[in-house]
Amino acid sequence: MDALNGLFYGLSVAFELHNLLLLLAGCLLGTLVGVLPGLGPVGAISILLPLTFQLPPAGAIIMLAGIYNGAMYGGSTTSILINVPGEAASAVTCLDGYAMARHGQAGQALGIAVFGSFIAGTVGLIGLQLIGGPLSVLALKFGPPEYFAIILMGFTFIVYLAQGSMIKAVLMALAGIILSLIGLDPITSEQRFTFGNIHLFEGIGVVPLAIGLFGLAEVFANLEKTAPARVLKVRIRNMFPSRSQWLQAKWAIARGTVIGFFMGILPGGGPVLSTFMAYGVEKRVSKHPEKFGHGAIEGVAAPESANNAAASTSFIPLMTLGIPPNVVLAVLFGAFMIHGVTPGPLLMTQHPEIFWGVIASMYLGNVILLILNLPLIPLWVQVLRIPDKILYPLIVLFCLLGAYSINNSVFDIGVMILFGVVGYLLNKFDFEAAPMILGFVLGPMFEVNLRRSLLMSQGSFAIFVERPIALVALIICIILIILPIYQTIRKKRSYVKQ
Amino acid sequence: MDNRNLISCIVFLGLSAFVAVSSIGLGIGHLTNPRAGFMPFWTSLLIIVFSLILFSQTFVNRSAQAGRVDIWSHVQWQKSLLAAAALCVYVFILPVIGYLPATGILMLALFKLGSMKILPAVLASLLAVILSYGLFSFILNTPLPRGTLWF
Repeated sequence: MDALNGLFYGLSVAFELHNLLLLLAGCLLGTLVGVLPGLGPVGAISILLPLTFQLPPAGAIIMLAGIYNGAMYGGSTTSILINVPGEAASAVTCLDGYAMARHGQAGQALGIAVFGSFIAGTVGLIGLQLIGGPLSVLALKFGPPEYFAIILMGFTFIVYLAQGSMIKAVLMALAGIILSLIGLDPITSEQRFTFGNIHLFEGIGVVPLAIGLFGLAEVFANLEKTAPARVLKVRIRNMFPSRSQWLQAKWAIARGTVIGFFMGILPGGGPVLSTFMAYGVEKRVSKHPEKFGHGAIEGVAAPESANNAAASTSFIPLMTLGIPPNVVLAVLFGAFMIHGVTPGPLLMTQHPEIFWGVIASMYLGNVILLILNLPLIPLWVQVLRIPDKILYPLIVLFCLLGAYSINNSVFDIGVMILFGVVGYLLNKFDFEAAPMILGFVLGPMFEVNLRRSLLMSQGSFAIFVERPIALVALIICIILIILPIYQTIRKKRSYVKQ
Repeated sequence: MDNRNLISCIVFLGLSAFVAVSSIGLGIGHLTNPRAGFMPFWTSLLIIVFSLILFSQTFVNRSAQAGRVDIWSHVQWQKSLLAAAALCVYVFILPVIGYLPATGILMLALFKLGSMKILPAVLASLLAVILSYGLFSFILNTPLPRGTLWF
């Protein structure tokens, strides 16, 4: 099926009434989650996953993708109105969005965020539609050595693009791999680190882990804050940016879209990093960099465009290679598996209704979010006024139910609480939880493909350099490892010279 | 010297040493036939290496760092601790007394933790428990724990 026919087929799936309603529900829930500070898309998808259990796989994934996109749209609202990002990908928007709101331009800031998100999200989807098919066909030729090398490249990117210390990111990714090894050995079925506990035979679930690290840990972190965030009292008069604001923002939207497009595909990149990069580029190319941080509309348009483009294109590696490039997609990977669907090169042929249905529904979701977001902003502002003392117990309740309902297991609640505490401490000790989740999801694939490759080659590592795709991936790994070392040495040399 | 990094290194070294020793027990195998302990062994060795790098980095940069970081100052960490303790108790009483009473008590504790007055806290807890029970038991067909104490 070519891209155009695929899209028409996908639209026929997405326009089925129940799928349309699920998409609408997903978009609304996602926006709500994006608006509420303290609960990002990872926690939201994990917590709301049980709601999809009774649904057919296509409808379930459409709803979850809607939540993801909705969260990307909704995150800007809190950034602009209360200077607190609803989710990490909107953190940069605070800088100029809140400044615009204080200057009486909250409406225009929200407006440019929504329009920029729509344009960038749509461009990202066109990329997903065009690249997805050919990449799936290519991925069918991949064997264990190629997969091993690509996953290794993924890990290297995750570490290279880590926001904090690279060493800490490596440690987190490795800890994630160790956690993923709990359970039965995938080749010999021997028990590993189960301590004879029957609940651990199938390993730890990604959902209790993600809810703990990203949902409960956030609640713990917010509980200890001494001062609650205040909603800026603004009158949102006009949400349509003026002609001059459009002219100012158009290139920022274009650059943000391009950056987000490529960062979304890269493992470890994703929406969060793309926003920082887009903001940095915009400030650098601007004729008035001094205006950034004081209400520059480009400072809102670029990161909001980048995070939505990245959110769309991050589906490319998941749906074509079966490799989640960021933490949200890692949880979505788990959701696919729970619904009995394996994301990867066979998804397009075995489940075309999901592959094309999700793409088409994301186009529709973008339109729904554009139409809904502008009139609903006053409602979201009211949602922001829900006191923390009511909000956080309810989030905890949903965390508990979300963890329990995957296997109807109280043990999973215990796992979730344990990782809630771990996530809280990681945050205190300045460690990022995202590489751990990615390590956890990619760990089993990494191990199986390494061991299969070694069995195939009778223990020779030459198999990884004899295959062109694996070789290219390994060369990229080496460059990514050498680059920061070289940069550090250069920096030290110039420091010594000075 | 950033004390947080030192504590992290000790924790990572301890955990990875445990994994490495357990992996040897599982059998590491050879490159021609890697066994169940192969991956955990090499991963734990890498953790040890990177923990030592982090330790040495922290040690080398000790003069440049701000020094001891107090992660518990200027925050109400007691609230987080109480919430975590309430959740731990919840996990143990949930299978015994069942979803409705256990979750009711937990929600009441959490609402009270947020300094809510007793009557609104009781009402909010009841509402949250009944609505969540209805949603998950009747609409999503999720069998919530009924409690061994009553059955």
